[in-house]
Amino acid sequence: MISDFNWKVMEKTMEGLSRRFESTSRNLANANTPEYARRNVSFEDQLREVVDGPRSLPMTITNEGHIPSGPMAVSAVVPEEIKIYDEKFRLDGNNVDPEREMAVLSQTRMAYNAMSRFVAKKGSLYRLVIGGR
Amino acid sequence: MRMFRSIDVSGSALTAHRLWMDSISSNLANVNTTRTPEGGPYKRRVPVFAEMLDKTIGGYEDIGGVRVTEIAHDNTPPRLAYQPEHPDADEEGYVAFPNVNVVREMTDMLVASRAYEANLAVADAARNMWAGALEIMRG
Amino acid sequence: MERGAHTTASLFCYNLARCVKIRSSNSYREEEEIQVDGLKLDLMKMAGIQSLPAVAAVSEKKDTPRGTGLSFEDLLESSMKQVNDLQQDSDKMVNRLATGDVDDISEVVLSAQRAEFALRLITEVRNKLVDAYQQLGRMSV
Repeated sequence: MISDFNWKVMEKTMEGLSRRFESTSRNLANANTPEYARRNVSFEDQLREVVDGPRSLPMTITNEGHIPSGPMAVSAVVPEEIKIYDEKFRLDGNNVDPEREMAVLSQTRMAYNAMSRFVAKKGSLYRLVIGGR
Repeated sequence: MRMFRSIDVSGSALTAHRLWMDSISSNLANVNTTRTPEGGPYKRRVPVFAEMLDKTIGGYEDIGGVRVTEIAHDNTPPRLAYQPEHPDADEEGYVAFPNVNVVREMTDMLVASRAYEANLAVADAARNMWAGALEIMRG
Repeated sequence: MERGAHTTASLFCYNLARCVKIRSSNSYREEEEIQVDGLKLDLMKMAGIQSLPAVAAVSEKKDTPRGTGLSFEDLLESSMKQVNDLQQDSDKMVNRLATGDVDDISEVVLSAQRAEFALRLITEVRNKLVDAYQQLGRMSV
């Protein structure tokens, strides 16, 4: 019950979103640092692989030691911080755009709020069924 | 992400209009600059806005926002003024001043800042709509 | 004395159950149309009160002249399946929200609300069932 698929997906999403929030605020703090490349945290694509199933044919594994392509379970999804090198950047080699970072920050906060509401709603439904009254 | 398209579009507009403000302030700062590294007087900077198309397959492909493709130089001829004692005067005593019109720049500044505020309001409204939908679930 | 009490109780329940059947024959399959008091019929079956022919005819899943033969058990089972389906739909929507594949959050919210209401309704039905069972147990026969 507590470890059902949807619950795990919601947990993983909140983890990824809070990592993204940290990364974006670090970008904003470094808005004037020379040679700084902005970072973002990526986890949605991995999550989509797990939720929708792999789009392309999954690799057949002949030996259990072989690593399959893409994550197979929600616990295998790891939010990773990636550096982004845009083609346009300022003279000091810094490519942080404050408006874009603020937009990402706002979106991350909104998505996090939404996900936490859904977690709360699911929790209240469990309580209802357990308690009954 | 499709659900945040509205905020992405507003964000692109904020960036573009801020770049416009940057070029306006550069123009106003250099209104009397007669010497530039390329030679000749300062040329007015103009940002070129282009529509940005969202490259997603399926869905609305023409909602992407705006981007600045380049900050171009305005090639109208410079303003000539007769000042023979100026160090940058040519043989006939004329100095080439930048083709920046202060009044025009101030008007552009108003337009740019209003557009910026309007896009901020859109982003704010999108956020309120999101929160409003989530309020349905409260309780 | 006992038989008299049975008669009254069973006729009472039979009438209520007929109400349920009439409603179900109008193909109202939604949970909102369930007459919660009609549960007493099934409870009587559970308590073993099968003695009267009137009760027996109704509690078996036979076609009556009025109804479609839809018993309350079938209704309850289909309702539970519907609740489960709605919950699955809501989960799928939330998963799509997590990967960013929804167009508007209101779809997800409304899907979650539908699932919640269905679950609350069937939980209330369950509670009333338990109450009625306890009440029946307290009935002095």
